[in-house]
Amino acid sequence: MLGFMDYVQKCFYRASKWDEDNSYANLNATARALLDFPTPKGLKMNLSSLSSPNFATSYSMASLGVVDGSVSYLYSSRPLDNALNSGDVQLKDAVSGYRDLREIMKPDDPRDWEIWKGGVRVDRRDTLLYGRMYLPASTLEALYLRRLAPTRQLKISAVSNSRLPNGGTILALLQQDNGKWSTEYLYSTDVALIGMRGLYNFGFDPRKALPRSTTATTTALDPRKIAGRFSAGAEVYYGILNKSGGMSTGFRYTTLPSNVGSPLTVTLTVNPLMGHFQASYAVKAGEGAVFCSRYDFNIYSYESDLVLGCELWRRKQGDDTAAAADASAAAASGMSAGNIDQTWQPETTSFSREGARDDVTGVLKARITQNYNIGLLWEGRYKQLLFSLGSNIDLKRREQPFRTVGIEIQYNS
Amino acid sequence: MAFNFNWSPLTADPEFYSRARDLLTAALNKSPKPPIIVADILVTELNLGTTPPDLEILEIGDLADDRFRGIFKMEYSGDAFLTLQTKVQANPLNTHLSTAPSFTSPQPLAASSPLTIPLQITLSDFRLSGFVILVFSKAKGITLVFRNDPLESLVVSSTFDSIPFIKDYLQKEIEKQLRNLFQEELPAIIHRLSLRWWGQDYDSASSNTLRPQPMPQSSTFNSGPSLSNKSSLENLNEQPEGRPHDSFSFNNDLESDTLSSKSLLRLATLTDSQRTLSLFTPSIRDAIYRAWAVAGDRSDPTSTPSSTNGTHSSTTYSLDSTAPARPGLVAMASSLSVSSSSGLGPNGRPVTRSSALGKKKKTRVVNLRRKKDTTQSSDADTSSVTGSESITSSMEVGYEEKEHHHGSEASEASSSIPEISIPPPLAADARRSGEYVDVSVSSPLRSPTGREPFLANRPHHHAASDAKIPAAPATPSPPPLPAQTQPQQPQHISFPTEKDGSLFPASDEYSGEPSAPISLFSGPYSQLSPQLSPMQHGGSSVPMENPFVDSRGRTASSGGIAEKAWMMKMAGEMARRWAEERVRREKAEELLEERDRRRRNGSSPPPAYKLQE
Repeated sequence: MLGFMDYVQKCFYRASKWDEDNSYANLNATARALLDFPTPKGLKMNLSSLSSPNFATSYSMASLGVVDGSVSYLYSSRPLDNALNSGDVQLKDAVSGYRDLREIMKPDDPRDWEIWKGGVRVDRRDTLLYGRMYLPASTLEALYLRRLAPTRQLKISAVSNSRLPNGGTILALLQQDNGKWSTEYLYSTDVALIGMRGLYNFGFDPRKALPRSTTATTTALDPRKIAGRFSAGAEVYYGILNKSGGMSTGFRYTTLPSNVGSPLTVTLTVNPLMGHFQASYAVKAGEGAVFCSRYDFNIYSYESDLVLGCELWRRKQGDDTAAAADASAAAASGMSAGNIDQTWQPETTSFSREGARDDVTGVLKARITQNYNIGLLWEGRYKQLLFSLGSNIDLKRREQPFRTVGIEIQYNS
Repeated sequence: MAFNFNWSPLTADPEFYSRARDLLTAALNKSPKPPIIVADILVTELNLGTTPPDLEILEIGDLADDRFRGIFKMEYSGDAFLTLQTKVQANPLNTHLSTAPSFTSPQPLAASSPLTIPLQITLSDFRLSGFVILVFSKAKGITLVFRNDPLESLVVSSTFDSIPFIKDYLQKEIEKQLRNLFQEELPAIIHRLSLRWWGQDYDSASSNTLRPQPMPQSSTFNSGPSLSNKSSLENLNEQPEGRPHDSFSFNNDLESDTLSSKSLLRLATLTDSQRTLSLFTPSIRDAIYRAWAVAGDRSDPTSTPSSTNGTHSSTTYSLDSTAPARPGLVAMASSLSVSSSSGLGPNGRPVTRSSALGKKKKTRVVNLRRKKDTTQSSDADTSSVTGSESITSSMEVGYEEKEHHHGSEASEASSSIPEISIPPPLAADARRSGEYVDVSVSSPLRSPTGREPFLANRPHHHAASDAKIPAAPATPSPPPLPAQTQPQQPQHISFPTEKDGSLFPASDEYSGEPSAPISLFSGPYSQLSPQLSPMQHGGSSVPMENPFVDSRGRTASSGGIAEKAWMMKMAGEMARRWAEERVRREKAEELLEERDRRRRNGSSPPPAYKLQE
């Protein structure tokens, strides 16, 4: 389950029209969400509120032997009207699961962002400030996010802790997203790590297709959109201080919402230096089930790993009338923030309506590894509370299979 | 004196390597490993090689059958090698990110993918050079500590020799770990290994049960504390004044720790024989030897300057007169022993050990070596010589005492001393021994930080323990109560002082008390005293160093020129020290002094071991 601050940050991206998924770092986000989900440990409670559209606070307390917690504040220069409380938020947005990638959007023209008032430019760049203090641990996290331009975003994150070398680290990340391709440049003070990531989307170029697409958006018969999207990317890192580096390259094919078949995502990442291959395959089988598998193999050490996972959505055993009413209501509301895809996918109404209508009562995530290590997570909503209940089970230890058990409760207002 | 270090027999033991491997493996996996190491470290091969290290003896602070303490300079450039096996994370980005906070992690997609590689590291061509402090005790095992970082260089050859970056990294990391190993882990490993080698001792030490059949040496070693315990106990019971209980409790602990039931029995019969005039005296083996070593140790601090002042004696006497209670008497006894150097020694002697200040310790260490030679040479001496030696020991004590109480005459003291002071010294010794035990155990940890004090203290403690040990076995000499009183009388007569009158009441009072320990010590002493009495005058006038005393005992009249010169020198030194001491003393309050004296007296060991022989 996403923390409230992560959710708000996601809302900021959405409000400022930033595509998080169009980045090499999130190339295999689907597989990670389905297979690497964290299970809660102990009891954790989050109390958050968006007291104003620009300001959010969150308090969390965890009890696992010792009580610890955190206090976090967030400020956004852009009013986050799309952020909903825990009673209204769609579970699909509050839970990271299978990523339904949307069609690439043409970035805004920089001139669209200009606001002139009386001959003076008065527009401001959207900025997000975020700070979090972990209390007993005395760790401070800070984040500065700024939309420099329609295609650029600067993200500076820092951690301060006396136990860390040099008292903390700062990571600066400059992201550029042109739709067709995106690049990221990063610098970390930790070992003076510099890095570069790039992602290129083959096929349809929204910028060039602009004149036609404007006319054809509603027809949705452009053959270039029907198929999925193939992306390739690479990353390079080099630590100046420890004189070590790393690199990888990756590929992804994913179907787009316009696809009439089962949505699926296939990724392959290769680390040529370490000889590591990782292939993942995720398919959305039906309305409420996603299955995913991932296979790791190292050609140098012959080490391999296989992880299987699934995600099952439990829906209300509803009467059709209620569902229809929901759907109509959702359609009427215009899919306020989260469903931009709706606007240009009229023919895939079944999908869009599913996404719109929030009749989901819970999500069950499960994974099993080669070592018979099972992770279970149930995320759902009870009245106004979002909760996630999880456990880690090691079948190899017969006497004490339950390694961790935990529940996390979240209330956002 | 020669040392024979056997290198190959150590390695010949087939089980040695497996045990050492296990211990090394455990030690290497104990401390948190760097993130690059993703599996346990296994020691697959260990070979100490054929070339032994070069050891240069810098200092030997203690030497006995079952004990050794010394400082070596070690140089090693042999062919030992060590092979380790583990798994390492070959992706530096992975190891780096595993320790970095996730919030600022660059979150690489696959660049941090793990690659674990089995790694075999062979460490060879060790170049070691350092100062080693080696403490060996049969009961406590071997304690070996490096005073400095001994690792000069080594060659690390691994699976990654072809990749310079990783090679350098490994070399650096391993050197770091090895330095840590040498300074912290290795002493612990060696100690544990040594404890296993002397398994029974280890058992006895680890489990506080009394073993029925301890090794003879250990029994003698233990007898000291036990005896002291008993004596102190008796004193407690018999003496109305009462004495500080701390020493008693100390003894109790010690006894339960190290005494076997059998040796306890022997000691009990020993003390009983003293009390009941029974002729049976249990023989405790190896006691004599220890007495010898003690005597040698004792000699160092003692060179009594010819000039003895009566200043302090007056104070002590006043104390006695005012408070005839035990403390006062003890003090008096000590003072007497100081001046007279005759039979007083037993009381005063422990004082020297216990009261030794930091400045004196160093000189003692130096002297210890010298004396050993002398004492060994004197081993063949006849009974008369032994008598002289006992005297010398007492005289040494007297020297220390002299600092505090000068000019007091021996005569009065002799009577009072034996009763009062003897038990306390033993108790103090026992306490000492307890300290010693502690030191030996904790030495590896302590040595790196406070080396100098540690070293300085070490010999001192050992000496003290030594002293006590011989004392106990020596005591068996059967001096019945009559003997005790009788010898004392002659002393009184021979050295009467103005203050005799004041002292006599106290002496009488104590003489009347039938405290066994006192009689033990007094017996030998008293026997000697008649012989010694003539010498005592000379002793007071001439500085007494143990070796010299021995020689003088034989050829008392004809002292070598060199000896005299040396004695004079020592006398001067003593005088100077005494002056310093006096200045210091004058500041101190009388009560404090008294307390100090009591304590010191309490720690005085008995002198008359030779007689026993």
